[in-house]
Amino acid sequence: MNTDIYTYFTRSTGENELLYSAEAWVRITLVLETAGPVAVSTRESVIPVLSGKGILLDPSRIPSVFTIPRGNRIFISAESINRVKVFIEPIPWLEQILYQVESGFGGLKGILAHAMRRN
Amino acid sequence: MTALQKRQSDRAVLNGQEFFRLFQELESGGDIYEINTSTKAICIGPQSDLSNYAINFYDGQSPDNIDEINLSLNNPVIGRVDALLATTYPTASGLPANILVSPRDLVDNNWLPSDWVPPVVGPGFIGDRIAARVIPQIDIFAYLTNPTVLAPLRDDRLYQFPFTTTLIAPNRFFYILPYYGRRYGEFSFGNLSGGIDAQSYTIDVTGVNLFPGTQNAVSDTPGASKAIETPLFGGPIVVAPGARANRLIKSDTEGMFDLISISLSTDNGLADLNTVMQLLVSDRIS
Repeated sequence: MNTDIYTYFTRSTGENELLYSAEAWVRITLVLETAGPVAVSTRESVIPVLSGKGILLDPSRIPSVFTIPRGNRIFISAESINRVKVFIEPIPWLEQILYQVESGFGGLKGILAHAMRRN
Repeated sequence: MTALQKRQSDRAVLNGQEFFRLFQELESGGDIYEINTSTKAICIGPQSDLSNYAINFYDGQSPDNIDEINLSLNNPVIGRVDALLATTYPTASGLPANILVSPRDLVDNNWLPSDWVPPVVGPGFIGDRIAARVIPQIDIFAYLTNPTVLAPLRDDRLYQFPFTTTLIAPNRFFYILPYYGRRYGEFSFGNLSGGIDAQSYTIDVTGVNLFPGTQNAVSDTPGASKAIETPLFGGPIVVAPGARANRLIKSDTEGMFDLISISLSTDNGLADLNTVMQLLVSDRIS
């Protein structure tokens, strides 16, 4: 899989739109170039945009970065036309393994911390 | 909408612009324009003839789900204002919740002076004529991203009207200019006539404040807008052949007006009257 870079224009329908369906592990970076509001989520229902079902992209051009495992999808919604820069870069196998290990350790650390608090 | 809008904000988004400029002549005082993308700031542009606009937008906390901000020269709208096209205003037509822009200053592109004499066309033309009517321009900047700097004060506007007539009867020719929120005006009237046919002409300058309604406050002239007309400069100005007359208006002494009406009267009868008029209006007090 190659890196993919393009501009996505949101539509003014206020409906859920599929932004990306990951066939492999990818890192997606989204940069909102206009005022928004634009919501994204891994959940299929993002609307209403301001409901909090998704997260709003920052309208100050601060990149939002998401790691999307294989098989997951990312949805987007807006109520007006907006420009969104999209960078999709594949995550190599080694990095995926490290990520999962880190996630595992993170979970393990959480369990241990919880157990220590109880004791 | 009530007005034919020549520019659309979604084109500005598609083109990657940092702001959308709503810029066109006003068709009427009831014009409503749409901005159908969200904005980070809204301000009056440099070539606006009006000094006050109403910005309406969807707000679920307002009684009618619609809120209004006054946009004036000193008060730009800073902060995100959303256009929510999948939401509707509570109207029978289900109008999408765009950002709506309308003039708050009173506009009447058909205003006539209270002492207007309708022209009679034909040989020996008599009556009044509109020599020039400057239609006000709307100029709004709607920023699609965080603005680094807002548009500064409005530009000065300079009007130059050369005028030549050979009409026989005494006539009046009117020049009507927008003057909303202006603080300073510098008017220069020149008479280039010379030779055996040289003649003087007379200028009357009036400040006009419009009011809602369709009847003139002074004379109840049918069809004329309600207005208060304030004669300026203490009366008529006679400009002799080869001479030039200069006058100033300052807001702190003469007041502020919506329009300036200038009538040019040809003095008795005929000749090749040749004049030039230079009118500068400004937001700055010189």
